[in-house]
Amino acid sequence: MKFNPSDFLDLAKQIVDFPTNYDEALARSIIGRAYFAAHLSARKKMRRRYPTRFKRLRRRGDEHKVVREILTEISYYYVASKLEKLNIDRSKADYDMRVYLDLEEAKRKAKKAIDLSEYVIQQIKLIIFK
Amino acid sequence: MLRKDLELLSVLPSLCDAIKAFLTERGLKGLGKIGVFRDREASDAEVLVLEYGIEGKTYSEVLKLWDDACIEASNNFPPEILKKVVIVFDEL
Repeated sequence: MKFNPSDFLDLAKQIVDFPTNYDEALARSIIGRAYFAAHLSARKKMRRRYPTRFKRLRRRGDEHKVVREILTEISYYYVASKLEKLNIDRSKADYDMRVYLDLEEAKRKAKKAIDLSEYVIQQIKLIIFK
Repeated sequence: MLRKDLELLSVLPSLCDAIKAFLTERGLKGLGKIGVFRDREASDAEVLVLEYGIEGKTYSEVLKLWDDACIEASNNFPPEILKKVVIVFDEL
């Protein structure tokens, strides 16, 4: 059976209050999983309908942009914008080590990423192709 | 690259005005800021970020307002422009 991208979100929900000495690392990991749960859900739906758009991409990372571009073209800009926001936060969480998150802020950001990802995944399920 | 995008720059004031009008019509107070996000994992992936902090609303209310603002934007601006812009609503 294929992996269900929403499992990343379910995992994020399970571990968000996990007691650890690595709160910031946990929050950064959750923000990343929350994005990928939403991105992979959207990619699955878009790739099934528009397979040629995902061929001959210059870089692996270009598929993220392709997903959002298709969503915008088919009048789901409100989903594309939220996916991009999740991606921006994911990028900061993965690469920007200058930002320090204290315990409260880390948990707040992680929970918000979970809420946003859940919202986006619900919206992706409701997408109808004309 | 976006700084040299004349098409985007010419539309940007109208887009900002439209979001401001959206907030004003609903009696919402917000704080806006503009930034650029460059995705280091993708090629040519630079977007303009129009971020608005909304005062006095819960996050679930903000999410619905965010939907409405984006739908209004897509009714009034072409996808070619919106692909280069991300509108973000958040709690203030």
